[in-house]
This record gives sequence, C-alpha cells and structure tokens, in this order.
Amino acid sequence: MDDKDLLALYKEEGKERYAFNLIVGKYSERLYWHIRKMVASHDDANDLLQNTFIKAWNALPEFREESKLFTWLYRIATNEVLTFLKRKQVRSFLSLTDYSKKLENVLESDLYFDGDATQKALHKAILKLPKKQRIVFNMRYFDEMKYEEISEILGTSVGALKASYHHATQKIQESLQELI
Amino acid sequence: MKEKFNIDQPHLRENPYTVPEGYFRSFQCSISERISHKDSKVGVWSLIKPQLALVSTFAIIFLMGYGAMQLFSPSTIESGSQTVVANTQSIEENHLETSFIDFFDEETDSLTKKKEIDPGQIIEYLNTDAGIVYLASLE
Repeated sequence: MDDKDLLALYKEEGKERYAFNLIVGKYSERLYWHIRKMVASHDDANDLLQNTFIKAWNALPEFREESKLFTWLYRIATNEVLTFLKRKQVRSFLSLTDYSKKLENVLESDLYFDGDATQKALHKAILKLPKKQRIVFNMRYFDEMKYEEISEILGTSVGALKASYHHATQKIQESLQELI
Repeated sequence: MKEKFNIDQPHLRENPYTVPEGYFRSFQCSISERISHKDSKVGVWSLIKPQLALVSTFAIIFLMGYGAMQLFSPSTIESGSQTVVANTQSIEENHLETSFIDFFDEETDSLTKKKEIDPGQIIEYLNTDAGIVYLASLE
C-alpha cells in the first residue's frame, strides 16, 4: 500500500489506528537503522524510534501532505536524534567526559554488531563526526539518498550538504588510516 | 607514503548492526499498545475537562455572589451594629457599672433637679433692665 492509500485509510472514521499500524510496519525498520547508526546503542535507538512514532501519531491529524509521509517521518526521527545527542553532549560536558569516546565504547561492547574489523573502524570513525555531518554522511553513504531529499528533510541547501559530505568523507578517511 | 583508504568498498556500505530476534514485530505491537493506552487516557480527560471547567466557573460565580451579598446586605450591617451595641452594653455592665454610672447619676441629679426661682431675684433683674421694659411699653 502506498503512502496516499495509507493516509486515505487513516482519514476513514474508526480506521486511524489500523492505518497507523500499517505505517509503523512499513517505516519502522528504515527509521530504526537511521537512528541506530547515529546513536550506536540498540536501547537508545529503540527509545528514540518509539518517541518518533508517538510524536507522529499525535501530529498526524495536522499533517497537510505538503511533503511525502516518509520525508515527514524521517524529519521527526532526525529531530529526535539531534535533541537526544545534544542532551547527551551537555551531560558529558558537565561530567567532563567525551561523548564520542562513550559511543565508541558502546560500539566496542555491542552485542548487536556483526561487522568485521574494517566495518567497526568505519563506524567508529563515523561516530567521531559532528552530529550534523554524521547525519548527512549516513543518509548519503548508507541510505543512498539524493541531496535534494536530504535537503528537504534537514532544511539545508544542497550546496551545504555536498560540502558537509565532502568534509565528513575526508575526516573518515583520515581516521581510518590512523586506525587500520 | 600511505595509500588513501577507499571507503567505496561495497561491503562497507552494508549494515553491520543487528537487532534482537523478532524486534520489529514486537515493536509494532508495543507502539500499538502505547497508542491505545494514550488514547484511553486522553479520552477520559477530554470528557471530564469541559465539565470540570463548567462546574468550576459556576462555583466561582456563586462564591463571588455570595461574598458580595455577605458584604453588602443590610442584615449584616444590622447584625454588625447589634454586635457593637451588645459589646457596649457588656462593657457598661461589667466594667463601668460602679464608677461611671455613679458619677453619671450625680450629674443627672444636678441637671434635672428643679431650681426654685427666688422672687427677689426676678425683681432685681427687672429693675436692672427697666429702660428696656419702658421702651417696650411705649410701643
């Protein structure tokens, strides 16, 4: 079922929850991986994904279909992640610890990480990036999204996104050369 | 010189993260549960909220009216003055009964006592103002 049909079903009286369950089923996996690559930990990713869908459920009556449903959901998830990371960074600043180091440790001890040494090194390098560069890099590199799509989700110009991706790639290559 | 690391290797783009078994299925159920739980909570509150607002508005209006009536009604003013009178009486009875009242009685006696007029004094008075009496008789 495509997004238009899902939204039409949602608007039918008494079928809101059923339609929303279908939306969750359709997009939860993709949004989960988007969040997980940003926060590394499964538990944090699970919490953030739940918050994303609860917020989407609350805001869906006001959704005007000016953007695609998926873009809208991606935007909510991205905002959730950015807010979460900001909070974590403030906390670690107050406790004088390095949050990116913490994320690396999470990855090191993660039971749900099946990659080889090179993949681990790549993801450690990604976790060292500033949060906005990390988002742009993940969307472009793993999700293979077009710059225009990323621009719509993040509200940043295509030029700025290209520059951000370029910087992120350079930084990752540098840290991988150090690690490997 | 070190070779530049190639991040375009296809296997690097693969997702190395995994999830507990059956996670996405259980996730869908937990979201569904959370939504129904949230809805039922909101439903009860949205039912009660307007009624509570109405009741509290009436209560406020009633209290304000009652307060105004209590403040400005004549019965209250009367009862207030009655209280003052009663208080005064009790003060008079309890504290001033002997001293003040006794003094008051003496005063009253001296004021209310009839004074008998001496005829000699009348004649003397008429004699001093004889001119006035004369002029009055000419008219």
